[in-house]
Amino acid sequence: MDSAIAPYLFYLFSFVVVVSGLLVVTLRDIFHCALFLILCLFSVAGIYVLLGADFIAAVQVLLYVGAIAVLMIFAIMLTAKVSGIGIKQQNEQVPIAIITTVAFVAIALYGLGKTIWNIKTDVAIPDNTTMAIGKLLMTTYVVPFEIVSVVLLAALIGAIVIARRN
Amino acid sequence: MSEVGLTSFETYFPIFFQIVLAIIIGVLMFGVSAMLGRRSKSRVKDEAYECGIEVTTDTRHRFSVKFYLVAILFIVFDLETVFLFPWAVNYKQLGLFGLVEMVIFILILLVGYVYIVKKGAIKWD
Amino acid sequence: MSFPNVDFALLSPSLIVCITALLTMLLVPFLGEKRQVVVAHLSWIGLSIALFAVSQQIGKNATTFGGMFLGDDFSQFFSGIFIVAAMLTIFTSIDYLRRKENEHGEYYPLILFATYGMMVMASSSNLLVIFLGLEIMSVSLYVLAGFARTELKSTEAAIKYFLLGAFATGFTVFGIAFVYGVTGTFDVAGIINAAFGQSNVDTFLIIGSALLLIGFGFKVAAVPFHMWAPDAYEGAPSPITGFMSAGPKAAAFAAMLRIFSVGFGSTVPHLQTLFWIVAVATMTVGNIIALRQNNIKRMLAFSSIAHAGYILIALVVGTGEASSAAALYLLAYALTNLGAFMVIALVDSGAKHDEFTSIDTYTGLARKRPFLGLALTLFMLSLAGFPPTAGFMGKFVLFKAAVSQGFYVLIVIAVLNSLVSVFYYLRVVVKMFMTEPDGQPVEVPAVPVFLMVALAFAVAAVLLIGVYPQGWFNFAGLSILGAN
Repeated sequence: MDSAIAPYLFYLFSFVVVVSGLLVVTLRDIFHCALFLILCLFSVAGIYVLLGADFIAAVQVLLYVGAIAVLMIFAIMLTAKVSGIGIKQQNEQVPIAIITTVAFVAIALYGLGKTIWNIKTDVAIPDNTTMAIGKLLMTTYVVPFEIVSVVLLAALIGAIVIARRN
Repeated sequence: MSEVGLTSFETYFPIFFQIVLAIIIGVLMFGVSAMLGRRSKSRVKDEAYECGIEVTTDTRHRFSVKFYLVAILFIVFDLETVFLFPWAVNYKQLGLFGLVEMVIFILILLVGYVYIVKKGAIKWD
Repeated sequence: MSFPNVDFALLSPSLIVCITALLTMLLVPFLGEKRQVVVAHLSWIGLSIALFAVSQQIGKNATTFGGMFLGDDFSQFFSGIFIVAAMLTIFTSIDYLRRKENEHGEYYPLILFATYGMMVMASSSNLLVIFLGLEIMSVSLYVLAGFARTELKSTEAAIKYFLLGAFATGFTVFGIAFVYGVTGTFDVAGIINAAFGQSNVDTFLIIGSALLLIGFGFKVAAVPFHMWAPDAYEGAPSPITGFMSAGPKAAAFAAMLRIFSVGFGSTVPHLQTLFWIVAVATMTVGNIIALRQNNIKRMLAFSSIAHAGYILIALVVGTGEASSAAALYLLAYALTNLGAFMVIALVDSGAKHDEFTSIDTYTGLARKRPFLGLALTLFMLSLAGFPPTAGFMGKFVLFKAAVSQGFYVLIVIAVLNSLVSVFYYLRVVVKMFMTEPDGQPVEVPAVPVFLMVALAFAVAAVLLIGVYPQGWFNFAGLSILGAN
């Protein structure tokens, strides 16, 4: 997105991602957590748009915001006694978690400054990435493409086996 | 490859505009009613209106596990659809080889479909 | 548009396993509840065809799909391990599931899917393909671990395995993303080229490698990522526990050896030190905690952690010889552990629930059933590393590869660890032979035909590798493609 407001939009989306992400892991009502997770995932889709990855953005909305979020809300509704009441989101491991996270972020930020990224700048970003992705998926990446269907099948059968009635 | 001849910002502007509009409408509706509406709390006001039925259980029901199964199946087949798009826009160029690849992809998932139908996982009783 | 050349002969082993899985899966809902065992028989028949296909591909050392799929001897060797592990597990399971009244045909296709995933993992040096194989394997195993739906412990095992496994998967993906971000390729050879070109290795390549190490560390249950293993091993149905300790461990190590040892591990500084620390911690923690276990499945879970520690030595050493030694070790360990779990599954299946898994159950077993006792003794000796068993040969070859590169301290620690492990392995043997059962002795079912075949095979294989390893294995090393 080559426009003057793109940087501002980036900061807007990033802000929403971070804030809603924090709310997901701190709010006490698990249903509210799920709703903020939807907001978080949607803002990530916004960042994909800014990066010019329109196909990924559409998939993000379709799958994560559309399907997976609904699945999570179903899961909450399936489980008795979790929605509407406060759930403790913290335990005694919070300090360790914070230390680990801060350490990882610090190392990653340090690396970010020192790494020379192997990015090709002379390649024009296609306006419509769906076509380019399709071509790669069907030629270079055909092995992963076909294997994905087996992953999906295993997940499908696994879900049925786990949820089967005896 | 730009067929419409728009820059990406122009392409996404309607979506952006819609989001902004939705936020404005939402804030307005809550805000205006909060500012203008009169609030009075009384026991009578909390009762069911006219011919309404007295509440007997909690609002938050436990759902049947079947909903969950359907949702999971939906995700899997939704993902399958996502993979169809990039193939479909290249259909002519990919030709027979692409078709064969897609048929294999769908056949593998079809095994899962036959399994769930035969197993009665999407039957409601 | 150029389409990749497809060498179907090279793909045949994994294709046969996948097609068998699909067909048997299709058959499951059409068979009546009483005839689900048909699926088991079709499954092992399919696997034996795949094993034949593997034997036909040995020595070809070719690639297909533009290098996306490798058919080198390394991958064929590991495919062989996975297929044999799956077959032995199926043989163990037929009677086990019947006795536990849990005969659902989906069990066998899930084993086949897991096997397919492992074969994919071992047959590619492309991080994307390795990851997809890992996912197929993991998803199938989560379900298999919780297959005894009515058992609380089985469900607990599945949930713990799933939650921590999914968490670990996140690390793996994160690592792959970092490595891809720096090098712009998923292919291990391409990553080496990209990393070698620079004067100093990029920080993100180091971070990415570390994240990959965490992800795979979970899968092989290396300390400090081993927490899931005891509960998952204890709760899962006994044949599946055997399968988990044999197949997935070998698959994760195959992928690690390809990524790190023959791959870009040597281009990343400090990684060798990291492996050294993890290896020592893994073998020591596993062995020491195993001493205190009273449940045989839990004990073997910690033993499996300890063995992961020994195999990690190969990653410290990082030579081709060490990688081949690790392959032999994994074969020996897989056969031994599968054999031990055959006996455990048989004893376990004497009760409808899981009350027959404590070591006390084995009191006096050898006096009543000398052959079962001798078989389990052989497997315990092999795990402890006594000659002339497969376990000894595996350790010998691996330690020799390390000593030849001058890793003396590491090997001293490993040998001391092996000595410690003798205590808990022999405890089972002592219980079986030397103690009288107090009270009612445990009723162990008669050995069913298929289990008999599998047990005989495991015993023969463990002895054969121990006595005559050259016939099975080329010490000069397996040829591994995708490495420079």
